Amino acid sequence: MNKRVSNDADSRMRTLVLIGVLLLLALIFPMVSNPRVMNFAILGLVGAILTLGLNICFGYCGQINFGSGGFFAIGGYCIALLEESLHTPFVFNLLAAAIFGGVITLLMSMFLVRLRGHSLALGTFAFSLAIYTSVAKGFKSFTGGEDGIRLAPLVLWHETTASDTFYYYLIVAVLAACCWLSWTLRRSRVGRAMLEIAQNEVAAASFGVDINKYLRLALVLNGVIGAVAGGIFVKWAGWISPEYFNIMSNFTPVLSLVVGGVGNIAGAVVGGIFIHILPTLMIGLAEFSTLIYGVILCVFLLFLPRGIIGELQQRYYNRGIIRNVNKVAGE
Amino acid sequence: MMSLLRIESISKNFGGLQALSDISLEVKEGSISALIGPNGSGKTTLFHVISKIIPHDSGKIFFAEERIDHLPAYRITGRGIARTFQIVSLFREASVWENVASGAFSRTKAEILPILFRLPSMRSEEKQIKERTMESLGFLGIEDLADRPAGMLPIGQQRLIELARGLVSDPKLLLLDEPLSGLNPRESDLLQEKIIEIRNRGITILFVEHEMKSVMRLAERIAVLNFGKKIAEGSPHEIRNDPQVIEVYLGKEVGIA
Amino acid sequence: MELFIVTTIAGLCTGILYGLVGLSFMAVYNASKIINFSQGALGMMGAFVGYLFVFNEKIPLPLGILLVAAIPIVCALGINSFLAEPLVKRNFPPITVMLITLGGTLILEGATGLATRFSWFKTSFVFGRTPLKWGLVRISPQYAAILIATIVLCVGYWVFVNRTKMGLGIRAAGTDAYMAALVGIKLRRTRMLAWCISAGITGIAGFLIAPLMLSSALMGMPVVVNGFIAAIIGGFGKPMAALVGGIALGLLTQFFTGYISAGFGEILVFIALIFVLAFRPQGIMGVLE
Repeated sequence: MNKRVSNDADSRMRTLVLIGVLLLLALIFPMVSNPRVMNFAILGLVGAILTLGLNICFGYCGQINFGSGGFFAIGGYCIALLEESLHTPFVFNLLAAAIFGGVITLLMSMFLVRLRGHSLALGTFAFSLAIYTSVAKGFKSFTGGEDGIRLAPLVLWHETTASDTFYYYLIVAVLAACCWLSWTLRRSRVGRAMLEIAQNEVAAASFGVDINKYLRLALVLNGVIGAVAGGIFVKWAGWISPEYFNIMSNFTPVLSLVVGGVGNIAGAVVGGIFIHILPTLMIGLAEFSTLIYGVILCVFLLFLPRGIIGELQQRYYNRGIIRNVNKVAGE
Repeated sequence: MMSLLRIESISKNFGGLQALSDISLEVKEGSISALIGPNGSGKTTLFHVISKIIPHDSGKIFFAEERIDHLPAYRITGRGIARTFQIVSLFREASVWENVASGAFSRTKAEILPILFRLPSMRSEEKQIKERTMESLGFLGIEDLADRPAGMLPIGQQRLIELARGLVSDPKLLLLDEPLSGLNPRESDLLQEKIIEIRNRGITILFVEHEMKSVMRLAERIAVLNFGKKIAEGSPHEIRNDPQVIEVYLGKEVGIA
Repeated sequence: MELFIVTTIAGLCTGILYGLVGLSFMAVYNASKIINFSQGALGMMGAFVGYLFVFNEKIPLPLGILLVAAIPIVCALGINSFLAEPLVKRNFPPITVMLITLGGTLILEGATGLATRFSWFKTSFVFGRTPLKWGLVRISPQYAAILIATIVLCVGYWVFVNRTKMGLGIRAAGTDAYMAALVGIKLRRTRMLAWCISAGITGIAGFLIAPLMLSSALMGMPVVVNGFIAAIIGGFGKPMAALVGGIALGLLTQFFTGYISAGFGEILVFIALIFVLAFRPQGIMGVLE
């Protein structure tokens, strides 16, 4: 295999142009769409944010975690409860949700990073289920249990109520921030350390990487991003209940990464949008979603382990050796 | 010359097998020393104990007169010890550049916040990392390979990459575990030249080798292990004539001459 | 006193369920280094088969029990042959194989959910409802059946793994696959065997527990987690230890639910996991390396 990176300046130019076009499309999107499509877009983009969060853990450190639903719940309930009890403004609540999400994830990860691989995956799954059942049953009096909590619509400057378009732009901004975080992380010593953890722990430790510390960091980043996504989504929906983070919500980001391409920012976004829009696209066939998710996961793992974006890059773009890293196939 | 690495009475038992028995050793600063012995004598185990990949049962290790055996593995490089591995341990899916750059991790410190905001401190660190990596690659003559995936390359080049990675960490002591194994004569000679050059730059070297000619040629002091015990230590001449050593190696095809 | 006994028995039985699932996990893991995420779904299949054929008394009980074990075994064989093995053959890392078993789980649960419209299965107490009396102890026949079945299954499993040639093959393949292959053990067949055994055990466990909890297509998920945690708490890698871990978990959650308050089941399990990881990571019966 004698691959080389194509001329740096050329490919950088190409990528910048691509990003510029995408940003432009994203910005003008609300003007050309209708409310139903906006709904889809918001769902899909929130899913993309969750997937980007997971990507840091799975795509960079190589550790699957099934805690996405839990992180989402922490953020959502934080916003809802703060609003209900303290009547603090949304901005404050969102910040608090991010911090709270980070703290809880940090506490959880201090114990769980002893585990690796499947044990970590199931440990984080247990975490998520614990949050789900405590919220749904255990702390019913605080959280309203299955009935959930109503949230007030967001009021902006000039006393106008936030529209879907506002939320759309907010979410796009958060998504862009997450993409930026992933991008710069990937190109830094910490990002390289995370990739090393995924490939060879002994060598990584021998060259100064405190593995537990960076796994915790990856989980915390995942937690914070998940909490922020949850907070914004819940405020948009105007309502929170355990419905929003049922068991499948822990799997959809993982599925999104497999479909899009593990370790790949574009893959995370594309996969995230696709997988999270899917149930709403299948009008009337909602009951089939679990089955279809299962089939998609199996098909991709068997035939397209690099994911859509990964395969495309491999064949056509052919850029950068690192993009050909196939976490899923362990190549 | 002061003693850079001092090992005192290190023992390690693996569920009944005494891999290391009361090993004591000293490596003087600025020297090239060798650790030899038949297969299974404990040489790689000793390296693993020094770099804290496995814990030891008893004994102490001093580096530059400071005790290091209580440190976790990831702190050892920061003190100035770098190593290569008997079975090449590169990051197979990463590029050669990323592999070698990983050596700089212990010498840099940008964490998540400077990275997130791409602060000048982080950017200048990255620049430094790039420079040192390319310098190290250039020193070993493999700068052309920088963008290739490391896992795909032949073993000769992989060993050079491991060495380059070790050098980037700016070590005072370099532990090389069978650096010449799997190399053809030309590659082996080249690497031996590089080892001497490295020592001349002021880096102390302790290496494990089976290939006796290179050991006799490079090493100023040799320690011999057998079944986890040190059976001899001295200059190449002394070792060559030590009756215990001769007996241990009797029957081997590669003679000590 | 009455409450204590009832709670203990309930804890024992739910704990045994987790323990059996944990045992199944370890059986497959020891043979193939893979965690079979579909373990819970296989248990659900046992309950589902019960719902289809046994609880409504369409077929005689002995045949029903056979089916309850057989159909999950068939499902497991399907997942193993069509999903897991192709990845194992290509040397994918075990975590990825676990992902595809998650895919298999979603397919099983999705299909079953479609058939049942994702609502609860109707179950019935096939062993009758009159409690058996034994001194101070009154025990429902269902619980008695669970206890008896567990003893039978565990003894059977132990005997098989430790006293038969095939069982030895499984243990050998788990310890050192390369050596096992060298001495002629057919690895793939051994893995299939381990999967089948674990599927049979879980299927029966699911069938037995179904009347005692709300059974639906998705009931397998919490069971997967709890079974796995039971295995960790008992001592990762040892099938019998998983039973101990499961019983500990079951008793813990039942006592909390019975004496303090309900609804904290999962969080207790998680806290138990954290506790074990923090203070005794090798598990109750494990050995610290």
